[in-house]
Amino acid sequence: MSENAIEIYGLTKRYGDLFAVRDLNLKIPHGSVYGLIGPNGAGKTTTLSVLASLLEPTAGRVLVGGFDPSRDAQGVRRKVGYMPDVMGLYENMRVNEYLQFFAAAYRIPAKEWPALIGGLLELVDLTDKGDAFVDGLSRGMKQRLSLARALAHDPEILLLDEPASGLDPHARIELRGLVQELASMGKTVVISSHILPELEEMCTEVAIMEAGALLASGPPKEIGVGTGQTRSVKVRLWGGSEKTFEVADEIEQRDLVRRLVVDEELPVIEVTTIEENLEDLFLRVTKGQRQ
Amino acid sequence: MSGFRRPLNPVLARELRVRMRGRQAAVVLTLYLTILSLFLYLTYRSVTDIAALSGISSVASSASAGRNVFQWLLVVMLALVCFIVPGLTGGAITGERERQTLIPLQVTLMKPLSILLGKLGASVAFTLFLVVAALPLIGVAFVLGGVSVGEVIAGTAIVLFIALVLAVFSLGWSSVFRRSQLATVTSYAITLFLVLGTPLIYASQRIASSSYQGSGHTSKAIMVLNPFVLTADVAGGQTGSSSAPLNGLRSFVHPNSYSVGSSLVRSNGTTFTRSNPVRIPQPYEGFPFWVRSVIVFLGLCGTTLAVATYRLRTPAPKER
Ligand SMILES: Nc1ncnc2c1ncn2[C@@H]1O[C@H](COP(=O)(O)OP(=O)(O)OP(=O)(O)O)[C@@H](O)[C@H]1O
Ligand SMILES: [Mg+2]
Repeated sequence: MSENAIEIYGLTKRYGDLFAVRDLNLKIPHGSVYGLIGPNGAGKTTTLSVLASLLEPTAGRVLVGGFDPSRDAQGVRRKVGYMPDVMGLYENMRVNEYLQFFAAAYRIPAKEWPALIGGLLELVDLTDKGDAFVDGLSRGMKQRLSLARALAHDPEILLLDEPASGLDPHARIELRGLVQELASMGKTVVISSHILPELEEMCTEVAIMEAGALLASGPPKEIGVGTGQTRSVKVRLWGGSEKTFEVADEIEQRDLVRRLVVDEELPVIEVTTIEENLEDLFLRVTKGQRQ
Repeated sequence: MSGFRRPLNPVLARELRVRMRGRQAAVVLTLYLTILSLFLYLTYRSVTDIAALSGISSVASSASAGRNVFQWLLVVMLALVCFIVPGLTGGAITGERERQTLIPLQVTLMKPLSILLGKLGASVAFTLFLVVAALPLIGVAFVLGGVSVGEVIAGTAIVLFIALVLAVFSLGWSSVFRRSQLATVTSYAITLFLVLGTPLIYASQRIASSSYQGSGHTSKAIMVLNPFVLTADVAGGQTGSSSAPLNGLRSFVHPNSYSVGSSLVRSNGTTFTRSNPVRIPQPYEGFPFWVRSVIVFLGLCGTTLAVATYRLRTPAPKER
């Protein structure tokens, strides 16, 4: 088998006149955390759906874990855990029952369920929620339950479509930790987002897409993503005044907030990170290519 | 307990667990049993009243009451099944699509047909539950007499079969359409067509043909699609009693077996209980009516399941 977990050759998906993905070529190495970045409509979900054996491409060929989803979908499904961009959970079940259902759907023998589910819940930090009903979980918890579901059959490859959407900053940091843990377990993780800072810190490689086409791909530093980038943090104080600071990363941001709240005793009521504008990024990336 | 036992279909197991927990099941069961009991009481009353008026011996009237009660129960059970099954099944697949739970299921190792069979099993299991719950009421009819064990078994079996057929049709619409509402309405429309549309078509054919010739013979082929006629042919008695609903329907399929207008005859104290039907052996017509009906239904079910499986296949040209 090749050293790549996923290989995409000339992938094209057309809806009528619209190219959702146009001639995409990518190789995703084993054990990498691979980011698919692009604005709305870039073709991220379409690409992941093809990889997850849900969508038949118009042209091109993909290999996922060595299998072609068009020919051997079952082979792909054994190796892939997929978390869609929408959170489809059965609300009227308990968390344990929900995971049992998917364990059964992945044909895992019932006697292995308790250990499996215990392990999954621990991994996604839902251990004490096993008996809770799904509809009572917070959005972040539901997201983690979706991830646990995608991991039920211990897949080598994980496809996560916008897993951080709708999560608060704290939950995003948790998610990042989780992805890193999965990577340390040797899994290949493909993760999509339209927010760059979310990915640049955890991805070993990224691909930047727009309107179905690949703009650039490679390790973030190499393609000029995240080099010398600062992030803006907007701090709102009680009484309505706002201040904007520039920080380098997460840790500096934490130090900043500690300084304001603890040392200067300012009445901070809100801290927002201003995400980098994708337009700027694309300009930079495409310029970088032309040079 | 054997380690080699095949595990229950996961979709079926999930549906059973969630459905039985919901309040909906209890409500449907209560309503269903209430309606059936009401009919049991009404039929029993009306039959015994007629018997008392006509001064028929008590054994004979009890047998007649038993037959009437049994057949009315079957008819009402069937009507309720026609009412419940499309509503229960029409949203089976569309509901998963709407809640966005279908995709996670499709990327597991479950094949489309297993998903469909799990949903189907859940609907049929619920109907089985309803039929079993009605058995004590049918027992009343059985105690009154005039009903054979064979008729009871055949009657409940055919009601279950029709439930299965309606469930397959509804499941088909559920996988064709995107919206539960549309799928459910269409499922009801199809059921309504089978129950009321088929006799209407038959009647209009008859009117059309009789206007051409004096005594036109109209094909009854369309009626193999009618659940009530099928039930009558399977579970209707051999002896004519037009007040027993299935006997009346059965005489429609086999007109030659019965004397016209056979019914309870007021016999002013004589021991005749009913007119003696004159049996004319039917000419050989190939398969019996109910066998033809079952074959047609099975064929339609097979086609529907094939289409539904095709609709759920992945990778698909379009997602969602
Ligand atoms: N079933 C479909 N029919 C028609 N067009 C579609 C269909 N699915 C996707 N598209 C189009 O394909 C393009 C790519 O969509 P896709 O969902 O892959 O983008 P995305 O990168 O995931 O965007 P987002 O960030 O909004 O999730 C869009 O222009 C979309 O309108
Ligand atoms: Mg998307």
